[in-house]
Amino acid sequence: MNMKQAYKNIFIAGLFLASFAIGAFCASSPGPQDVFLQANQAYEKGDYDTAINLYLGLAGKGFEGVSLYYNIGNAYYRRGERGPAILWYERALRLDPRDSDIQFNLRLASNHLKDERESILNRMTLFLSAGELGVLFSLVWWAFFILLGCLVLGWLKGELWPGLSLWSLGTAGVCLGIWLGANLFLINQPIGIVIKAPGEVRNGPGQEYAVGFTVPEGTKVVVLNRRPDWVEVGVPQQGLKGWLPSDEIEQI
Amino acid sequence: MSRPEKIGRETKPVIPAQAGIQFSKTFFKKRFTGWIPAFAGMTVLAAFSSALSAEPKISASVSATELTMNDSITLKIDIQGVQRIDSMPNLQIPGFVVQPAGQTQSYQWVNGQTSSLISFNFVLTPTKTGSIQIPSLTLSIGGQNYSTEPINVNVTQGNASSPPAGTQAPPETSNMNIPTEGLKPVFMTAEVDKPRAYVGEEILLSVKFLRQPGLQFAAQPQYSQPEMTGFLTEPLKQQEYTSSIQGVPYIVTELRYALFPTSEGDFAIGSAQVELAVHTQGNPFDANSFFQSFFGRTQQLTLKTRPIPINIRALPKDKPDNFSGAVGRLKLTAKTDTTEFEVGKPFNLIVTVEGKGNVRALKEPFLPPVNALKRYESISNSTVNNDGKYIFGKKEFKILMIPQVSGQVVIPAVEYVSFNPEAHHYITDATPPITLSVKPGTKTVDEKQALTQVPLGQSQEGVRVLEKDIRFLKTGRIKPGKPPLYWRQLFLMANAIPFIFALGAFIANWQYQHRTLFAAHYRSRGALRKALKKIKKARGLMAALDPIPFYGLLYSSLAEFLADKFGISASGMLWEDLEKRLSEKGVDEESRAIIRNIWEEADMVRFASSTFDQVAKQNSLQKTENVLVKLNRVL
Repeated sequence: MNMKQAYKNIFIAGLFLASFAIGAFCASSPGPQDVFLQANQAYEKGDYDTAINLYLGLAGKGFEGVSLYYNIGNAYYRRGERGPAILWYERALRLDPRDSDIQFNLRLASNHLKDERESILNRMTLFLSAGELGVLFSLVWWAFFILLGCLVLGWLKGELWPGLSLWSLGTAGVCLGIWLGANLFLINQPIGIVIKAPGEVRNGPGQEYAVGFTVPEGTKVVVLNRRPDWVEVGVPQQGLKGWLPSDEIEQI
Repeated sequence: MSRPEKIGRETKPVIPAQAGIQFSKTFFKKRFTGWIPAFAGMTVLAAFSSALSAEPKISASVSATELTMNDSITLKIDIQGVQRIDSMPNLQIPGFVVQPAGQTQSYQWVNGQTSSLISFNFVLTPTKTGSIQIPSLTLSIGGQNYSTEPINVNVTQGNASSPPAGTQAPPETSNMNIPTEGLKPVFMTAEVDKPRAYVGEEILLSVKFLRQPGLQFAAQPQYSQPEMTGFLTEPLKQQEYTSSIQGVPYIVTELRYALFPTSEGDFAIGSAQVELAVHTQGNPFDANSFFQSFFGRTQQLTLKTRPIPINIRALPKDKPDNFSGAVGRLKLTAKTDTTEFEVGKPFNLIVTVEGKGNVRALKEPFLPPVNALKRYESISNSTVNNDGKYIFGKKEFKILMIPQVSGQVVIPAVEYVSFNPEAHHYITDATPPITLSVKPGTKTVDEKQALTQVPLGQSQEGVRVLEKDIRFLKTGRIKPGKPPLYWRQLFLMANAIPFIFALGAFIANWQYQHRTLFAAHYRSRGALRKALKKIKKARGLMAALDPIPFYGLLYSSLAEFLADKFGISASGMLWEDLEKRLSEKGVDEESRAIIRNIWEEADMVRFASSTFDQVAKQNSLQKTENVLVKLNRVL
């Protein structure tokens, strides 16, 4: 056997061993779904700390899903931390705004807050998620232009319905476009949740400033400005604004 | 060591249990001697006449019947109905070392009846373990024999390290506060186990009344307990024992109190006080001794203890939410009084707080609400005890509950927060949750009520919300986070397709319209291309034997080219007309000749069956192609 053949054999053996090791590692290390199930089991045993750690580990690695966010909210709620629970329910609601479980738990977690319901327009705008609106808009877009193309090419027979359909689709497309735009505008608003009590909002970014007002844990506020350790927040309903320590607020 | 009689809040000395014992005749004799002043003498004589007329009674008692080898007990011998005893009886009791501990004599005059009582005290120290009997003794008084019942005393080995719970062990005599003015025949002290304590923490107050064995009281000493404002007070067991201070024997009566401060600040425990009358020593054989001691040798004394300052600290501020003021070392347990649970059937949840501290003052532990159980007011019951030093016991809270639904019902953990003054921090104790398996009852409480109100045949059942809780976990799949669909490239590109399609349709339509409008122009523009295609096709047919298709293609290429250029139909085209048009367009003579020549050659082949060789065909083809290109430039 010459040297070239020997190197080739060593390379193949190394490749085999490496692939075996990688396979074994992959088999031994639990996948994200397994971790998710482990977290669920910890929750069911009442070990909410472990459950939260595992859930947050998944979220930190970039995994997402209504179930993940909703379960994190549940675990925080069980641990008595309403602020983070509301935060994660809100995040879950962004993904599935009509999920009755999320809505129910969010209502329950927020029942200590003064009932300041969102306007009907906002609720209507957020009735469908941006993803759903995007798909709907896309379907109308396709239908409109295909119909338009066919109509221009003279492939459609009939006098009234093609034009009427085209007009309807066009109107629907414009409405959906506005809806999607409004939805994107709303969900991209810098809304934050106060995740820690007592939520003392100061008149300036520092402990030396007096507390202007307090907001209970779980309150929705608008993030106006950011500094390294402080966040300027506004409460539009009351026309108030001030500064909170950055570890007491998290953006949805 | 067990005590024959429980000591309560009484401040007066307690009379021990009675047991008879008899002495020999020589121990005492009745005497009626001495000079009596007129008035008092008559009175006392009447009283003593009454006393003499009474039957003598002899009794004895021990301070405890259970003791250890480390303990001592007091044997008290009471002789009623006699006025004088010459000397202390000399007792020999097998199993005990007997030490005389003094003699007292008292008189009572109630409703004209006088009685006398002479008591002898002896300290008995066991020399062996087991059941030892103090034998029955017989005494002859006035020719009559009186016997006492034997007394059984049980002596055990005991634990040398644990102080006796009874009356005879002298606890902590070395730390006893001795009066600064020196030892006296009788004195009292008061001390606390700690000068500083937390609010609610137990402070042990010990008030000691010490007297030398030979001291005789003329009357019952009157004890007044100290002022203890700012404290909840719990009296502990009274103890009586002998003690030796600086070699002098004393009988110590100790009263202990457990004090629980109610608020922070500086307080003082007031003075305890004893008022007593003591006989000074006289000659017992003097004929006037009795009256001297009764009228002339009695000394009135008032003993007081010094006030004790106490500093009470507030509890630390980091109080947990459920803290209700409990201080001590406490333990929490919870159980139900049954194991069978049924909807509508009441049961008790018994929560017990047990340990050291002011048990009576403990408040009910916090029990989170359970909507599946209807809860009623709780009933509490305290059992308080003490070991002579600390108050301990338990407080039970019975909480009546009625299950409202069947199935698994969980009573959550009951929590109790207490402050441990020894550890200086708050401790939260919690019971484990209790899971009840509730069987369906015949009717729920509400249903029973409803049945009485709803007519038969009508139903008013509805959904009853028992407990509002968050909904359970979701088990859907999780996925790596991606940008929203509407921002993904593929989605955006896909959405470009219908737009491009529509745009194409517009362009196509425009082109179509344009071609329709400018058909002659487009026909003229495409004439050469069409003609050259036919030339190319004809070239392929050049080698064929049949020349008709070849020349047919040459002809049609020319004819159609010219028809397209002039915007006329190729069929039925006449040469004269064509030549005129070509001339008008400025086509030169040579080109016109070539066209005519090819035209004729094609006609000859088609209609006269003429034959042409390959060279002629090649020539015709070349000429046609050249003239077409030339004409395209001109036309």
